[in-house]
Amino acid sequence: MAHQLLILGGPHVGKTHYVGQLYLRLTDKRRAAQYALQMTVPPTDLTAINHIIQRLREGRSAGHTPSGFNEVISFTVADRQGQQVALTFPDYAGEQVQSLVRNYLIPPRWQEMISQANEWLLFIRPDEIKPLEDVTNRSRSHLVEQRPRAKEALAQGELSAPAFYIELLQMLR
Amino acid sequence: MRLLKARSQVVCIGLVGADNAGKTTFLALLYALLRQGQAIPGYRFAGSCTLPGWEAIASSLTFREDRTDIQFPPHTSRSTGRDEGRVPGLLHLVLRPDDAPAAVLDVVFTDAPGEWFTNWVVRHEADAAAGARWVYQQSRAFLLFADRERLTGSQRGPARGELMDLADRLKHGLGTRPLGLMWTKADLPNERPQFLEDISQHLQHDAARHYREFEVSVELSGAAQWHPQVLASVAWLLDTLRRESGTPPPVPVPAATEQDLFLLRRQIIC
Ligand SMILES: Nc1nc2c(ncn2[C@@H]2O[C@H](COP(=O)(O)OP(=O)(O)O)[C@@H](O)[C@H]2O)c(=O)[nH]1
Ligand SMILES: Nc1nc2c(ncn2[C@@H]2O[C@H](COP(=O)(O)OP(=O)(O)O)[C@@H](O)[C@H]2O)c(=O)[nH]1
Ligand SMILES: [Mg+2]
Ligand SMILES: [Mg+2]
Repeated sequence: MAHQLLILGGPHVGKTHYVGQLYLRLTDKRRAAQYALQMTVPPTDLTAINHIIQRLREGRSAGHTPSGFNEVISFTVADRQGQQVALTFPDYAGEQVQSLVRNYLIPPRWQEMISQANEWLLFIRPDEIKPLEDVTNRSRSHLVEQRPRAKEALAQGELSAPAFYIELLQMLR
Repeated sequence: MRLLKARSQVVCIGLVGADNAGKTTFLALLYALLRQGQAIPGYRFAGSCTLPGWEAIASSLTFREDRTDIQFPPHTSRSTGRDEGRVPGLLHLVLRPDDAPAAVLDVVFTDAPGEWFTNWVVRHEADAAAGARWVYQQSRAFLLFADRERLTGSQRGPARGELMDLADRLKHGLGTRPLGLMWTKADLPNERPQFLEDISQHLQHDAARHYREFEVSVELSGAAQWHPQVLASVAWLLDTLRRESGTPPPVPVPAATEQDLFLLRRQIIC
């Protein structure tokens, strides 16, 4: 059984670290008994996570690993009943997800990843989302009419974090 | 729009009122409240085809790190592109009623410049009133905006006249469509309570079949009082509509204008 798991999220949310952590756990023979899944066929290409797993083995985290190469990590795991599942994680630069929403356009490669995926995991990093401050929670201390500046924000088409995630899910639906 | 029609019920809510009455600010506040997780009582937010449009009007009520002030939404311009002056800006919400979670309700708010309605009151068939006629024909419910600032200021005489003319015009041919009156800028001191009371009396006299008044303001100091009324007014319109008609008929959209319906991006992104 082949499963494609699509990890969704912007840059710097920990997507690649997640796959690295998963890899290290699934290959840890000493603790295999604790886990419901075991790796039966390891990845043939570790490029995307190689740096991170080296660092994690030292007990440290790696910095952000920019990726623009659309690498794919694939391995096969088996559950305790011996049921095999081939997992594929595309690793991509998170900026691509931002530009999906920014451009309101899903490139063919993304269309393919989205429709082929059996599951999506959406990664959100709460500590990097600033609380929204607007009139619902802050008093308007100075009320100035600056229509040109409002127009500027409007032209830039910036979305707040809640709107970004809603729009992303609406587009992928 | 065609997609919307195919999947569900579309309810168009017409925002009517003079220039500067607070219509766009009302929509911006509605969105800001939803974005912070508050709900229209009885309805669950389930998406929107016009998020950039909502974000743009709400951006003026949102603080940024690089400044401490907020701005009111930019003036709703008289022209809306190709169909200049004929189709208003539209902002869309998908809602799911709590009592029928499987149902999908598409709600579209019209955001039109006040001048359209002023022209419409003077001459219904005027070219410059085409947009107002569109709003009047398509909307299943209305919110009429009463600018408390102007209605208590030095221009209160003409302002009252305008409001009443507009209310009378709306009531003519309203049928069972609910009409909510929105007193805006409730934070400003009310130096003429009697004057406003008289207006309210007049409006309630031979009122619409479904009529109710609300008081709103963006001001945080009275948020507990005024912000919930933004959400409540929309809930009341929808509750009334659903009780009245069961399934409202879909909005017939002229094919030529489909591209121009949605605010800002002017394209349907659902
Ligand atoms: N504190 C903390 N930092 C993490 C965690 N996972 C990843 N990071 C850090 O987040 C940054 C981005 O991680 P990365 O996996 O490259 O994110 P990606 O861009 O989504 O692939 C790196 O600096 C990591 O050290 C975590 O669980 N906790
Ligand atoms: N004090 C106060 N002023 C408001 C409030 N809402 C709107 N305004 C003012 O009214 C002006 C017009 O509002 P706007 O929403 O653009 O009106 P529209 O022309 O009906 O869309 C804004 O520029 C603000 O100066 C409010 O709640 N309190
Ligand atoms: Mg990465
Ligand atoms: Mg306006």
